[in-house]
Amino acid sequence: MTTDRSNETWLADLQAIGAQQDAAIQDLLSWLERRLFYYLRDRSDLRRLNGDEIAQMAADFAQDSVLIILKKSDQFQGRSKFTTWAAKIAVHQALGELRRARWRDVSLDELTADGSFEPDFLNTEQATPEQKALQSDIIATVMDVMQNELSERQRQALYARLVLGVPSGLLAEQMNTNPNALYKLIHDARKRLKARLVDRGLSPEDALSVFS
Amino acid sequence: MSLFYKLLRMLALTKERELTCSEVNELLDYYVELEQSGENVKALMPTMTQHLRICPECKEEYDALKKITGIEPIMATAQEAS
Repeated sequence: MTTDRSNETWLADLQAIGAQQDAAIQDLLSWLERRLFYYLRDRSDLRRLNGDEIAQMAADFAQDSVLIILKKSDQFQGRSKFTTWAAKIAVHQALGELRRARWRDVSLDELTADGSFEPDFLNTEQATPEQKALQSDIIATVMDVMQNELSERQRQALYARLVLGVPSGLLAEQMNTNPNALYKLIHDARKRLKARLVDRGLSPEDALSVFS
Repeated sequence: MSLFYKLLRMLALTKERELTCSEVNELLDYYVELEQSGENVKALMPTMTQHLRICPECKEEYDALKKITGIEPIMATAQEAS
């Protein structure tokens, strides 16, 4: 087995026909599978799985990734080593699957049911009375801006991403959009929120210092 | 870190022009290799660095890619010896 091919050789071998391609696919599969195994084995959220289950998961992710890599191989631009590029695709595929599995049975209604950012969101532990008074003013200002300057869709998206940590791919699906449009929706919300706070004399940087 | 602090931190990091997750993914292999070769990626690719500070999913993929590509020598030796 060899993985010390040049980028050009990887591409030529994977795009060849017959034994040359089979060998390259097998090398790439083994390379990814081993690395995914070590990565998955060390993830705290997968500690409940035994070694065989992790190995199977790594094998499945590697298999799926190689199919994607073969389809996309003509898009490789050579900015990095081919194996780093391939590993990037495998990571995206594997982590995407793990996120989907974690959130599989949650509906949009549940994801965005409470877009009000409370009560845990406002938990301000370990503050002095003076700090708490300042913090209350800041919180009231931020909440007011959020309520009056953001659309309901922006609040829902911000809440689901920031408070619940819903993966963008899944949230985009649930909100009938795509991840790039969702990023823009939330980016616009953040920019608007920041600008309105600054209009009211409150920069996020200054506000942060009161909460740190 | 409270969620309110996270929101304020996110607002403080918000820029007028930001890369999307797709744009970051497109460049992630290049970014990781530059960093692993000792380059100052924060200075060379500040918009990438900014996105990674603000987006937990892209940050998770960046960390995973660094780990997967960085552990190669030790792991390969152990595997091939067995």
